[in-house]
Amino acid sequence: MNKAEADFQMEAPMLYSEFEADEAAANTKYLGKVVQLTGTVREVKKDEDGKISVILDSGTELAAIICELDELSQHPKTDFQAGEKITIKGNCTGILMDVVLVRCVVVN
Amino acid sequence: MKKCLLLSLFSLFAVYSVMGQKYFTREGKVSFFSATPVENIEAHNSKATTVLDASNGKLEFAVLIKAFQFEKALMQEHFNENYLESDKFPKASFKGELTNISEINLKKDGEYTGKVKGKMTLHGVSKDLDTTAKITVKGGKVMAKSNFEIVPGDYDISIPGVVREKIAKAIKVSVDVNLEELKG
Repeated sequence: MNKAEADFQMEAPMLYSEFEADEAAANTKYLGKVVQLTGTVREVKKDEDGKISVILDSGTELAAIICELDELSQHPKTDFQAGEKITIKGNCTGILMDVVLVRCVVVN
Repeated sequence: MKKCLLLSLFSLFAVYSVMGQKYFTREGKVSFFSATPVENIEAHNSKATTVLDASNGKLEFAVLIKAFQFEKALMQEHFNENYLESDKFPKASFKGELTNISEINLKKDGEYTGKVKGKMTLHGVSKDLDTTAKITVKGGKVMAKSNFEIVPGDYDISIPGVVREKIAKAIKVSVDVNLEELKG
């Protein structure tokens, strides 16, 4: 994923609003694509298997953009603070309540 | 006027208590396993959204197909493009209920067997699903685990002859969710 060229680059809330406005159109455009997002960290979660997810602001309180970090990549930093601005890229899988990106890596 | 205020206060409480009876996670785990003599295949997804309404046992569950991760990238590609057609059908969902919710006290620590009944939608096809879940309540958290099998053909998923012997007839699915009370 480090080497993967991003198909799209944008601010995180933009991606969420596109999915919210027209899910079918956003699915066609983004599913399976590498999307690079710049956004504000809301929180970082680690589950019992050690999987780390960085949750970005979506522009609305009720939803978020969840970026699950790639387990196969080395991550120089994972302890992001709430409010920190980061740029991250990953594979866009669609929206449930939140837009979900998997196999994410932080872009320096 | 007083009556009005009382009424709105009452409805506020009603809303609050309904909210307080919902349990939720956006990080449920779903895995599936296909075991054949030729090859074992497994895939994992840790971003399943689940909502349980404790007042009536209603249960909803949704998962993004593309968020399933396989050991081999090629398997993942086949799974998405050829079998599940995830561009066309990006989600799988379950809508149903815990039919014995009245026997389960989610406010009290303990272990329960939940009876789950509802409809599962996968690959654009909805089918009845009837299974059980092991429910553990501990310190306000509700942990639920369930295992069941699905047959790809039931969901119009066709597997070509050449790979049929590598993919089990019945796929084992395991669900593991830790729900937290949704704060009103």
